[in-house]
Amino acid sequence: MKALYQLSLADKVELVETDCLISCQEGPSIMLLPSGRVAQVNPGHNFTAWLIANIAALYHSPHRPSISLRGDAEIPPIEQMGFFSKQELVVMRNRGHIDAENIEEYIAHDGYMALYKVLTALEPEDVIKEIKSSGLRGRGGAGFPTGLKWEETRGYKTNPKYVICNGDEGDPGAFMDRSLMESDPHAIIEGMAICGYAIGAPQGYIYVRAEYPLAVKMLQTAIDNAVKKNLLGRNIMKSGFNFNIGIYPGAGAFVCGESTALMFSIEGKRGMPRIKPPRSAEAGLWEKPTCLNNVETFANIPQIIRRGADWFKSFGTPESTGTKVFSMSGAVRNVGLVEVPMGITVRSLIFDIGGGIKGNAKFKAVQLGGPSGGCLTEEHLDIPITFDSLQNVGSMMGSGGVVVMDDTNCMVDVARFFTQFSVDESCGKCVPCRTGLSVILSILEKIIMGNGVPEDLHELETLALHIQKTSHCGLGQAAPNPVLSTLRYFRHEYEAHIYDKRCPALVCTDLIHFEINADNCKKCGLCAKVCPAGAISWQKKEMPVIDKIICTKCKSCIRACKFEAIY
Amino acid sequence: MAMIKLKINNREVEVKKGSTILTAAKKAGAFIPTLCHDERLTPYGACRLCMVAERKKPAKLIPACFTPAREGMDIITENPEIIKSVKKQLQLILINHPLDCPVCDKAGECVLQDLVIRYGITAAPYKLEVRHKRVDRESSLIERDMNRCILCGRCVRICAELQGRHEIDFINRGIKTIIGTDGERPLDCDFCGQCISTCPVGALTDNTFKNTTRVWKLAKQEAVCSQCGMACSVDLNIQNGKIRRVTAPVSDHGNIGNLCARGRFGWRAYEKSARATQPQINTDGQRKDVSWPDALSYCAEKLAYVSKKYGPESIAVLSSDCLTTEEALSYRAFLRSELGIEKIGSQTAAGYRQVLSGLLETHGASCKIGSLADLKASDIVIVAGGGAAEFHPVLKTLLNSFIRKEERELIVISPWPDFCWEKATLPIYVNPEYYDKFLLEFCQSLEGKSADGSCDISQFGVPAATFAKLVSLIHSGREITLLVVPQLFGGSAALVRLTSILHHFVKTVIPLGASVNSRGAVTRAEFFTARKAEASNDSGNENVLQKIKNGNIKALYLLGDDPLEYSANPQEIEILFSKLELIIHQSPYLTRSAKFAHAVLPSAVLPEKTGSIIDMWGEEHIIKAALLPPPGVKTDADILFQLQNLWKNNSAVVKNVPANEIISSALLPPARLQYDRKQFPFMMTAVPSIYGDGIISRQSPEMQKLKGSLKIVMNADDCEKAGIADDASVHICTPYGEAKGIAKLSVQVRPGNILVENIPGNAEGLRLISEQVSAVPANIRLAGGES
Repeated sequence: MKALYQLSLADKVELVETDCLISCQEGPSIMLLPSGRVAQVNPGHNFTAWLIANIAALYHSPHRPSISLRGDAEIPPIEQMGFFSKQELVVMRNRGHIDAENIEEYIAHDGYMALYKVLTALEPEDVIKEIKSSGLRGRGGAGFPTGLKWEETRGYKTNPKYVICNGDEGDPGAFMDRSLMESDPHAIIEGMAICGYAIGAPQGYIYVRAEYPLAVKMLQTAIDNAVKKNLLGRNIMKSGFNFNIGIYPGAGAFVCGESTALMFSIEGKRGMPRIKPPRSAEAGLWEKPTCLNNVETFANIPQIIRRGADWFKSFGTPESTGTKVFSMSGAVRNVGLVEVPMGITVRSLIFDIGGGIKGNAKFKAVQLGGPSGGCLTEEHLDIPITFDSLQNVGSMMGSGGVVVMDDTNCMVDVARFFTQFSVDESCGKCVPCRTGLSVILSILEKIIMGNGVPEDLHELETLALHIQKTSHCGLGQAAPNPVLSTLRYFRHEYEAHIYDKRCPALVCTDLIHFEINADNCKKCGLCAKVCPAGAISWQKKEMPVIDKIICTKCKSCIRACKFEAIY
Repeated sequence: MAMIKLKINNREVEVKKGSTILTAAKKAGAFIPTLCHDERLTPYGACRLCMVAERKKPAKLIPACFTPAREGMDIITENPEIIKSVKKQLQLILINHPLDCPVCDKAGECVLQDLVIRYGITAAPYKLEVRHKRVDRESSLIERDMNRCILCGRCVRICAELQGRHEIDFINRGIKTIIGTDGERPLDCDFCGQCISTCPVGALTDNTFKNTTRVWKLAKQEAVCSQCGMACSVDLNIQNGKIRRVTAPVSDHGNIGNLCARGRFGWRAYEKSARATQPQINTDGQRKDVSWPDALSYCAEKLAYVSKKYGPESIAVLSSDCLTTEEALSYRAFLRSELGIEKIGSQTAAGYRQVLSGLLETHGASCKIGSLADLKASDIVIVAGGGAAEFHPVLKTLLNSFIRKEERELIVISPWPDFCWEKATLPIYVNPEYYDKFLLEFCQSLEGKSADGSCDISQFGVPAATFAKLVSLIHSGREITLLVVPQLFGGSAALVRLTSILHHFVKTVIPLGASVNSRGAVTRAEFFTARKAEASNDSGNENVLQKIKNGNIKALYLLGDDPLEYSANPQEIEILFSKLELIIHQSPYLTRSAKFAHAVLPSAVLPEKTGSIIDMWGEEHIIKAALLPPPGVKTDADILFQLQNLWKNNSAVVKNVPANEIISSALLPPARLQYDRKQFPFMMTAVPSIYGDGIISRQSPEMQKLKGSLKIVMNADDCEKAGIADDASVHICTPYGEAKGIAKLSVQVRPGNILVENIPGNAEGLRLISEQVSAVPANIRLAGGES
């Protein structure tokens, strides 16, 4: 505000603190609306001074393109940026456009219109029909048709019923639910209220991990504001419909993203998946009919109602309609949240939106769906992203984490990383997941240490299939996917580790010799300069020598060497 | 119930809709391996061994233990894919299971061991560094070795689902999961041992059995537990004529494999070391060991003498109701025909007798005394009184199963927050001071006699809304079972009245507090229903003591019973006892009265007898002697047989035996004291102990250790005000007496109330109470300090 007063623009420009503009590598930045032009901050720059300079610049020279202070070429308005141009913003339409703490801004963007339409013009059955015909499938990963779930829950006569929003986002590298809850909490609330109306539930819960304090705060503020405006609570919009929402912060167990474990957690019990039947729709929370959907699923609802199922179906493929938010990270240039229509190819996602591989390295693999998903290779780049197509190649949509890997990633190590995650997060209920995954991890560790034997590959494969087949819940059934998919597409890397005792990507420390390859070495001495332990001795025009006793195997030299001379 | 048909291994079976594939397979005789399954518990699906497949999709494995069977399914329980999966699963389990079978008590009946043999797992191909986990050797009776645990969760579930205790649970997650208590403290629970009974491996073992023998050397003998009126089915595990442990068969008997601490661990009470084994007589103040013929002829002579001299009214008989029905009938016949005795009282089962007789009196043959099946089939259970599950601990499992089903109500009216009260859907706490008054008020309102239609219920500590709900549920027309729980001490007149009024509204009534064959003794052997119209609402004993005091009774025949251990004011009774000409103490145990007895006749315990008993549900159990009585011990039937023979021979001979010195009644303390209520700010209620207050439980060293001394349970805030810490040694005094005990803090107990456990058999404790009222005013102070 100080900046605006200094510029005497206080009456012309409103400075609004908004949530992430969702292009992580560009932030922090300001965007001037309605032109949509963006200015970035230079790290280390005086923030207020930067604000003053840029607001002025953006405001006073309307024809100037956006400003980048990082020394890049000037960047175009947001819609013209490559990162954004291929995206379809449905769920994330309000990001950066509204102040999430201000309900009026949401309402101004047609917020709560869908709820109004539902309460005034539609019967619960019509709502369910609309959702069913939109073809919306659960965005939590499994892709169960949302309309069917609602219809089933509505069909049970036990009362009360519950609506639960699953905000227990736990995959490493996934942060789309968090962003949604922080930037557009009312969309979720509205979606839940519509669900409550459709299935006949008076009460909803949002299960958020306690590690998302900002999301909890935003949601709570939003709920309070909605209650004040009678958009939640008793007799909403004088329609006679009552709906309340409570927030339940979870303690951060990955398995609590599993619906039955989540419900146990809300009930105050240990978060462990239970047997089905009964399904949650019949006896879920407190053994009452419960409809549980993901954050993104609920955020889709208001717009489907407002704009109609046909509009929604215009995105995506016939089986997988609508858009999907992915959180892209790893070796791509543009990291951040992207929302794309279903059916877009992996290539387009990574190369058009992601901007290709950082530093012009070679694309190696992409891990879709977090620890439950599988790695895909170059040959899969042209498959369309839908629920079923990914499953067919041994991966899954999951919650939408996309981790792009270049050739500096060792696939055995990647498998180990994700398996370690699953081992840590296994609830310990069923034998295959509890013990089997630990055994897989121990075999992978053995291979990475250079102690692998040829039989290990067979053992890994049979055990992984066994776990997949006999585990109780989705966590265990999907946990072997990283191992299975890397075994399928990168078997040669495993074999290199086992037979040649070599890590092709030079990641597995125990398999690196830390010696200089005389053929490649240009005797530049860069390795000696970067070595933090002083283990490399080098004289001009001499080959460096690595003292392996002093060497801490930090791999600084390998990263520094431009000629791949250290192996 | 709709039935569905499906095929298991090509064999067609018909099961109830909703049954699991496992149930169907059992019916079809197909074997499916399981580790985490227990019929008593809801399916869990943790061990993943029970995989089956449909014929059309042989590679898709379905867990059988919780997947519902569907009409027309075609299931195969074994194919290469399934066997491979089971083997792999067992191999994975074995990684975390030590092969210490030679020192494991479970070896021989270990499910894992059996499965490993069956599937021929010879070597574990996987190796994983396994951390050593803690072994809990501190808990009494139960040893928990987490290294052997396979985390099937059966113990956790049985503790929660059936016992309602939640004493143990999973801790940590993933491969680091263990099962334990909060803060890894030793167990402090009911010690029902249900967890041991369900553990498929040797992770939970019975300390009383530990390292005594190998299980395959045991012979299991079916028997009936004699610790309370539930008469649970048990298997006595016998080696060389000695009990080594007690287990329960998972069968369709009432307890379906469930047992309590007394039933499972209290068996040392049957051992010789706990028993009286030598007949004794006491002449001229000298107790001496005699032979059986001598002892019995002494008894016969004395009985005949007293009977002749003072008439049949002068002999009182008290029974602990541990006789078989046949024995009871013989005793009844003998006592009636030879001695003219009509009534056989009881002190241990006094409350039960009182309630049951009240019912029989009012309703006669149309009396709706119920069975276990009635309880299970009803919609509402009303528990009138506190301590139901403490009297009969296995009732916990029944009531927990009962309320798990939808739309069922458990109403508990109790003067203290006991187990049932905590689990109730409608818990009604009544201030103990006004408990009897409340019951009477309740009676009046049910009869529609209440002064203004609804009296002020809140004075009893009951919210009006709660009371209204209670009344509306009673009038709801749904099937109600009434469980009547008598007070441990004190008159039950109000309760008897309430019972007979509620009788109109309910489907069945089941009085609790029975001894093992109380129901048989009353309904079959008519121990209690007097032929002569006599003052009826006494259980036998109160009047007996009064009559002794009045000098009307000269001889006391104790059939296992012991008024000294179960009546208020034992000093007075001791004095009264010395006025008697004859006390026959016929019991398996040398309880307190034995000291005053003129003749001690060691009798057999129930597992040493053959015959039948009727449990409190009305079910008849045929029992067969599983043990031989120790040398010197005769069964009650034998004793009676020989006594009758002697009687026939000697009845003419009446010798003059010198009378005992009579102590002046002036020494007796006055019956009712005058006191200042301010001196006694608390209300004390004597409550039953879950570890048993019966004659048998009290002889078990294990149960005695669990019970400890007098346990004084108080509200935590009251304790704080009085500066009393948990486990502090305290004095409790009432207008009747004073005793020392251990204070226990509780957040459940209401302020101003004190519950005292373990009074029966505790001479000091018995001094605190009165036979007339259920709650007595009390005060408390730290031992050694001032109030």
